Amino acid sequence: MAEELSGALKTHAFYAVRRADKEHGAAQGFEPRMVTVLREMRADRLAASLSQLPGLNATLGGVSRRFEVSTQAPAIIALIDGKRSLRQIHGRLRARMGKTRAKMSWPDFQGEFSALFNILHPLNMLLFAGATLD
Amino acid sequence: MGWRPFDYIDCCGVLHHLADPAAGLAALVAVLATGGGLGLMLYGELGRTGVYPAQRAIARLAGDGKAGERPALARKLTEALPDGNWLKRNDHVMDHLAGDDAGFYDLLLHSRDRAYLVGEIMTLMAEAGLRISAFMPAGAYRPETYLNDGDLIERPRPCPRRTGGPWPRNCPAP
Repeated sequence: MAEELSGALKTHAFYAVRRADKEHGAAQGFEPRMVTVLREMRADRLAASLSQLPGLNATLGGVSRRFEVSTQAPAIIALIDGKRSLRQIHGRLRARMGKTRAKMSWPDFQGEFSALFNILHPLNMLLFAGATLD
Repeated sequence: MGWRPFDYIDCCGVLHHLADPAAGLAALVAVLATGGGLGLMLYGELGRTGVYPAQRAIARLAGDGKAGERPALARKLTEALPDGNWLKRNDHVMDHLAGDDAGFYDLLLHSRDRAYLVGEIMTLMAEAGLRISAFMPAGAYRPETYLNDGDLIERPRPCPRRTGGPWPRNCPAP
């Protein structure tokens, strides 16, 4: 239905795996060992931009939209380098916040990251690159 | 050719130019490693509204003329299109206005191409023994991206599961 509403999807880009392959495909959920990556974008620049204005404009299927991000989003984005796992990003955030006596549990971080992912992933800006070996 | 199977195959904008896209896809699947994945891009039918009538008009006007004459003739035609023409009204297709011959030729003079609805892609993939893991960008394939009214956002329902026949032509991505 989305393509009928849009009317602007002149190409369809997609990923596919064998139907019988239940193990591979799009990542499901957020696990501490997952490695996230920004696509074709510098983390420091995006973080700096969102620190000044906590929102971004994007066009999806021919429709211009504005998305607001949380105050924690720039700090999370600044730590995304395509190598760190979510656990490592969470750890670094906690270490920084420890200096201000604020605490961020894994569920808190998961909530923050989930909110950010739910904005940036549909825009094709934030993906998972794989997972670290535990 | 003696190559080992590929972990990842990227096939961007190729299958829709083949006489038999399903056969082309089958050839790719045949060399895909176990646990491997494909990245594919196919033309979208609705976003290319106006392209195929323009292609047909150019082909008929060009007749049996020399291939070298067709670009100039096609440019003359696109410049003369009336305001109501669907290609002229389609603000999302601008390849022919970019100024380069390659984009112009690819859009309007290619000897063979076809476009797909999402449901047709689902059928093509299913018949090749594949499942789609994600359309990109994912947000463009969510009805709520285009709906501002809360009641309307609640209404879209997924298509019934495929039970052997083709997907409905307009079936949304799962």
